[in-house]
Amino acid sequence: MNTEHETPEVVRDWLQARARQRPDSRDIVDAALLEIAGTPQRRPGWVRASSAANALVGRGEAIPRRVAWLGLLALAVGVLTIGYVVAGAGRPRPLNVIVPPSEPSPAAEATARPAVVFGPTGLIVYTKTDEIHTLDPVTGQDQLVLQRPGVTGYIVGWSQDGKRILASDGTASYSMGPDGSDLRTVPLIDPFAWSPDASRFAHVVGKEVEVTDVHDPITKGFPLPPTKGLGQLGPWSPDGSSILAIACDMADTCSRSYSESLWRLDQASRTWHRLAPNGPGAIEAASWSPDGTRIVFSIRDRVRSVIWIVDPAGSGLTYLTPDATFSIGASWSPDGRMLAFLSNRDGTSRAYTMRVDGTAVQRVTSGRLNDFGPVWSPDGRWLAVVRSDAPALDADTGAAIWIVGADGSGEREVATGKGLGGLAWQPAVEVSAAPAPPLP
Amino acid sequence: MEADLVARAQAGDRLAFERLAVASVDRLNAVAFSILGDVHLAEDATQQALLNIWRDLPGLRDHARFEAWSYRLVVRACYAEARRRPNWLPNVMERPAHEPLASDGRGSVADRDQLERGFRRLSIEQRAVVVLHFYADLPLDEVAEVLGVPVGTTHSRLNRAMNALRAALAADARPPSFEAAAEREL
Repeated sequence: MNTEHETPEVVRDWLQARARQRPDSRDIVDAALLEIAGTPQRRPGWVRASSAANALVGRGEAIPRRVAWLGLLALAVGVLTIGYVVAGAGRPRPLNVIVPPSEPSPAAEATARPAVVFGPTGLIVYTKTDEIHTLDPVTGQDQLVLQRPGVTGYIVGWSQDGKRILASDGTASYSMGPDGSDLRTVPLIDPFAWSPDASRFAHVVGKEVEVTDVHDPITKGFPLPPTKGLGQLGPWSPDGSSILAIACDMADTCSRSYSESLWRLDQASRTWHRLAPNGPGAIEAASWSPDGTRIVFSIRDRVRSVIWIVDPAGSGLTYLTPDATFSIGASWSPDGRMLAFLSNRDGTSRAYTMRVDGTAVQRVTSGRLNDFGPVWSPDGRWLAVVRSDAPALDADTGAAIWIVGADGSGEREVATGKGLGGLAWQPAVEVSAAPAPPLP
Repeated sequence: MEADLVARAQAGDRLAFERLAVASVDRLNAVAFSILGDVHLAEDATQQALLNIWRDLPGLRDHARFEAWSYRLVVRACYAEARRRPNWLPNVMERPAHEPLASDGRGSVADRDQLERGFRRLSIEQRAVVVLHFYADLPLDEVAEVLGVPVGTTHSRLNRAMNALRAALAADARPPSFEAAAEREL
């Protein structure tokens, strides 16, 4: 084949033949219609202004509508301009800076700021398309620690001791110091999971789960759970003795099969324990409590996502968010008493907190923008979220990282840019007794 | 007809939106599947795109631009799906045993396998350009508009993608590599 000249035609034909293999799409419409039943339409300002003008002028009036329109428009522009100048808000803003609903003056902001500040070691690691950065939320210092051209996103986290950044993209997993030093790269064999101290990793090889030590060529093999497929490995329990896995019974390859089960591998006894049976949805965001005695996860189907909690023995399985909305991404507070999570129960994706029994639900963030995350600061007094006006984050979407007190106070933007994705706050590590600098 | 449905759905007419969705879903799902290469992820992305179309439709000024605008939303939904599980491996739907490969006189089974592998290695942004240009038949300036990126960026993404796919096809003639062997292991 003359690939130079024929490739476009070959690609075109291949794409068309491949697309013909899809199943019928009709049930997607049914699911979408269910979902829009509770979704209001978003009407931009110009639409509302148009409706208002139509109502004001009315059809068939003697005044031509276009003239009335222009008059209204000129009036609105004049009023806005005067207000803008009088308020002194005419300074230019950089692109992609998400403007908070109301921006307090610096003096008022200083007064409103909570007295407790971040610890000196609480770096936030975040992803920005093909880059991984660390950010000191106290000083604002931002450092690029890894860039892999061509990568479109990473999963990032910290080792339990806060001394290493752990990340993975579609091709490899990485472990590195907080400044990007001592980078260790493991070719990704999915599913894959780092141990809490980043000294070992688990992955699936053939018919086994292999646990490999990064320092010594020591590998232990464990059987796969008794299911047809294994979708995800991890996370490990905080003490490193157990590893969670998401499995499925519907297909050899788990991928949004919507019938997944949650399992725990006890390495000492080499046995698997099923923590959640095959349910009506995909299992996501499984997370251990800091003391390793509870596990939260969410089960998602086409119209809802519900957060569940279970203990490592598989007992006490119960749901925490029983409403028919999306609640996802539960994150444990450092003391293990609270969970932060995202919910769209009021139409916008916002951060909430609740006790681990599902009570005392409190909305933490507000405003018209969507929040993603959230993650806790090491002292448990702050949450960090990624905020955007888009319903989902992607490489072309402007977004910003915001920090807000766990009670909803002291909200502030600490980073902005396109392609922001996941983030994780460095766990508390042993630090010197030097006093923490105040939040700028 | 479509413009009329768009106008009515824009005003909040759910019946009109349903007809619009039925008329568009196959086109959108085909694009999502072509980009993501996974039936389930594509269905999720298409469903999310339909939801976003409903929600943001009042902001669409030019009804005649509905098709291009809907492509933009489905591509964004694909980005979000890929980002939600960045370490996803495409779950290419298994072809039923009784269904023969479509025979179009071009490309062998080996070519298709090489294309599949090469396509999996492209970034999600490169896939979007390839799919919108070669599958949806959009000219590159319109692809740029749909993706919200400069035309030059679209050209460079397409060039890189095509070079990678040519390399994948050319690799057909080479002996199996360790990488290919490892892939078979998986």
